[in-house]
Amino acid sequence: MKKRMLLRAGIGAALAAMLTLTACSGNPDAASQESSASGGMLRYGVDSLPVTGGLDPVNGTQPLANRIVLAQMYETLLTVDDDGTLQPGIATDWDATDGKTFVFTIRDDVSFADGTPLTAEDVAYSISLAAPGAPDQLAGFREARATDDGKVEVQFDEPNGAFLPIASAWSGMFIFSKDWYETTSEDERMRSANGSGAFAFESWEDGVKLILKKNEGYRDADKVKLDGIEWVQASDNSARLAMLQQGLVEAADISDPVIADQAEAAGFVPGASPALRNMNLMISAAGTPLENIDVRRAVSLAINREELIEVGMGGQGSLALPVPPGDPRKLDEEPADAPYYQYDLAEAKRLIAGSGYSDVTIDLTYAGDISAADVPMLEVLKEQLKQAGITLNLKAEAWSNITAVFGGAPAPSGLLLIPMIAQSDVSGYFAATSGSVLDFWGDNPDAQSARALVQQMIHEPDVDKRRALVQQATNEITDKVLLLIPASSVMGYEYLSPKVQGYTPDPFMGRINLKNASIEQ
Amino acid sequence: MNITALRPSRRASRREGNWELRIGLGLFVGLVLFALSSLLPGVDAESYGPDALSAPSAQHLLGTDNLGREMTARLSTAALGGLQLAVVATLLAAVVGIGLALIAGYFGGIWDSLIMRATDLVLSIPGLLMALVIKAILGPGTVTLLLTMTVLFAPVLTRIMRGPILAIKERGFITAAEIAGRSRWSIAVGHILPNVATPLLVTMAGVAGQTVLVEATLSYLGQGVQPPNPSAGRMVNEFQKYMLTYPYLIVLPSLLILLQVVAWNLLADGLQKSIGSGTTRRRNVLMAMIALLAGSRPGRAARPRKSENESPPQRPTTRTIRTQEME
Repeated sequence: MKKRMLLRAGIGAALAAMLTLTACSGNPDAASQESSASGGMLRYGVDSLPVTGGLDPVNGTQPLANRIVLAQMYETLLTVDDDGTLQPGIATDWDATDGKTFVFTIRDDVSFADGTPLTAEDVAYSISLAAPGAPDQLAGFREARATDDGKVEVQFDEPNGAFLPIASAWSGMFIFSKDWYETTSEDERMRSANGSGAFAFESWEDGVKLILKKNEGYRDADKVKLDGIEWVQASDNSARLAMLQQGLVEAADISDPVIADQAEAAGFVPGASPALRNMNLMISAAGTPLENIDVRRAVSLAINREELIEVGMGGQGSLALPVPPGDPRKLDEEPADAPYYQYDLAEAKRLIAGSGYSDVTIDLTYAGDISAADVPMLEVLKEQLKQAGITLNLKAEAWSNITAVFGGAPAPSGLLLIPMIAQSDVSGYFAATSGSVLDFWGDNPDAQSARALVQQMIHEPDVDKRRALVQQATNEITDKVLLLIPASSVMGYEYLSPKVQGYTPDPFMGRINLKNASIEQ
Repeated sequence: MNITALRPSRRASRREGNWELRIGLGLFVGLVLFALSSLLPGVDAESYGPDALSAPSAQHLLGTDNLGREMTARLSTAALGGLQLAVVATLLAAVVGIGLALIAGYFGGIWDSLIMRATDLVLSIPGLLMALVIKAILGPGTVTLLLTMTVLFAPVLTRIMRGPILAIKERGFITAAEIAGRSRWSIAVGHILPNVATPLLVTMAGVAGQTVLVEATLSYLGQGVQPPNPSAGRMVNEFQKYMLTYPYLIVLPSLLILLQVVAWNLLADGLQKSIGSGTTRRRNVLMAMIALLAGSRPGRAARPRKSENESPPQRPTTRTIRTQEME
C-alpha cells in the first residue's frame, strides 16, 4: 500500500514538473491557446488566393479573390450601408454641391499598419492613382489634392454621379500610404500590404494560404476580436466542404449549389447569398443575325426564364434586369414586366419568320474553365431556342482568351457569356456594354439612345434623377434587346462553422464584416 | 527429372477455346448495338424534361440526369461518339505509325535514326501533358482530339511495328521481289505490310482501348468532347457532386468507359490468340485483306516459305509442364 502511494506521488510530481517545464519553455501551442482565448484565428477556405495584380491596392482590385482580401486590410473614403446609403469612412464628412467638386474631411485618428499616420496627402494620392482605372465612370476627372486645412478636394470637368458610390465601395477605391506606395517595387506591392484596415498582412504561401493578423494600430482595434484570418486555398468545392467538416477551417466559400445544399444539410450556417451575378450574354450584333432587331427580340422571347432557372440552374437563380436583384439599388420594377422579356414562343417564331432570315444560327462563347457550372443553363438555353428555330452553337474558350475583349479585341462570337458581378456604382452594370474599353454595342444604330442614357447616368449627381435614368436605360435595353440576361445567379455561398459568432455578411459579399467575428472556444 | 513442354492437343485447344475473343466480340457487338440505338427516332440526348434526377425505373431505363435528360440516350450517344473516335483515331494513328515504321524498318539508314529518335522524343513527353498542350494551341473539339490521339499513338505503333518489319525485310522472298525488279514502295506495301498484319491488328485493338481512356480523361478535365455532346468522361466530372445522393449518375458512365476499354482489350487478346495459333488459311485470308487494303491484288503478296516462316508474335500459349519422377 505504501509503495502504491509512493508511486502515485512520484507520477504526480513528474507530471507537475513536465507541466511547469512546458509552461516555461514558451511552447508555440500553448501560446496559440492563450491567444485563441481572445478571438482566435479564423481559417477561411477559398477557391483562390489573390490572382492577377495580387495585393496591389490600385492594380489588383479587379479580381474578386483579391478584393475580398484587400477589403480586410484597406479602408475606403466612405462606406455604404446595407441599403446602399453612403456612410462615413476615412472621411467623416463630405460636400458635393455642384456635382463637379467634392470636398472631404479626413479623420485624424487613422494610421497605417506600419504605424505612420494617414494624411490628406495620402488620400489625394490614392484617388489620383485609382481614378484612371474607371475611365468611363470617372470621365472628366481632373485632380485630387490635399487642401491647407487638411481636407481633400476632388475636381471633375463635368458633373459626376459615379464618384461617391465608387469611393464608398469595398471593391472600388482603397486608401493607402503615398510613401509606402512610392518606395516599394511593383512586386512588393503585389506581395504585401500597408493599409489602415482591421487586419494587416502577415505572410503568403502561394497556392496554400495567406495570413492576416490583427492590425493593433486600427482605430477600432478594441472591437476586433479575431487574432487574424488565414485564407486557405482549396480549389474544389467538395474539398472545402470536407475541410469544414473536418474542422480544418471555420468558414468556406462554396460556389456550387449542390455542394451548398450538402453543407447546409451537414449543419453549417449559411451566410447571405444574394443574387448578384448576372449571366450577361453580351451581344456583338455586327455580321450576325443579331443585327436584326426582330431576331434579337425573338431570341429574348424564346427564352423561358422561369424554366431555365428551375431546370438549368436547379432553382438557384432569379429573374434579372441589368441591375441584379441582389443589389440593394435594384429597380422596383418586376423583371417580368420589361418588354420582350416574358416567354412567348409563338411571337418569337413570328418575329423570326418576318426577319427575312431562313436560318438563324448564333454562336455563343463561354469560358469553359471558369463557367463550367453554368453549362447546364446554357444547354437548356440551346434547347429552348431550338424550339423557336434558332440554332445556338456553344463554344468553350479559355477565360484567358476571352479576357482579350477587355483589351479592346473584338468579341469572338455574336453572344459572349460574361458573368457580371456586383458593381461599385449602378452605372457599372451598363458601362460594361458601351464603355470605351468594352463596347459591345459598337455602331449598332439601335443602341444610340441607350448609350446616351448611360452617359447621362454617369454624369448625373442627383440620386433620384439617376434612378430615373437607370429605369429608362433598362427599358431601352430590354426593348431593343441590346443585352440578354437569361437570369441572375448566386455570386457565392458562404458556410460557417457554428463556432463563428458575430459575423453578418454584407449585401455585396465583401466579407468586410469579418472584423466583427469571433470564434467560440 | 524430365520436364517436357507440350502444346495442347487440338481437341484440348478447342475445348479451352478463345474466350477472350468471344467475350470481347460479345461486348463489342453489345456496345455497337447500344451505340446505334442513339440513332433511333425519338432518341434525343439533348432534350431536357421535367423528371430531373429520376433513378432508373421502367419509365426511365437508366434514370435521368440533373436536367431531366434520359441517361439511356446520353450514354448511348456517348458510346457512339466514343466508338467513332476510337476507330477513326486508331486508323489515323495506324496510317501514320505504320507508314513511319515502314520507312524506318525497310528503308533504314538515316531515316531509321531520324524517325526512331523523333519517336523517342515524343514518347518521352507525358501523354496527358502533350494532349493539354495541343488543346491549348488548337482549342477544344473533335478534330483536336483526333489529332491528339494521332500524335500520342502513332509513335507507339511505329516503335512496335518496326521490329517485325526488320525481321521480314531479311527474308528471301523480299530479296526475290527486289531481284524481280519490284519497286521498294511496292515491296513495302505489297509484301511487307501484309506479313506484319498480325501484330498490327493486335496493337491497333490495344490502341483503340487506350483512345477510350484518353478521351475520357480529357473530357473529365473539360478538354475533350464539349457540351452539349455527351461524353462518359465529362459525365463523371459533372456528376461527381451527386456521388452520394444519386450514385447511378457516376456509376453508369464509369461502367461505359470500363466496358469499352475491356471490350477493346479482350478483342486485342483474342485476335492475338486467334491469329497467333490459327490456321494458315486464317492467316492467308488476313494477309489477303491487308494486301487489298494496301492496294495490291489479293494473292500477289509474297509469303515466306514454310521453312522461313516465323511464328507471329504471340502471348505465351497454354502449355503443360509434365514432371516425371525418375525412377
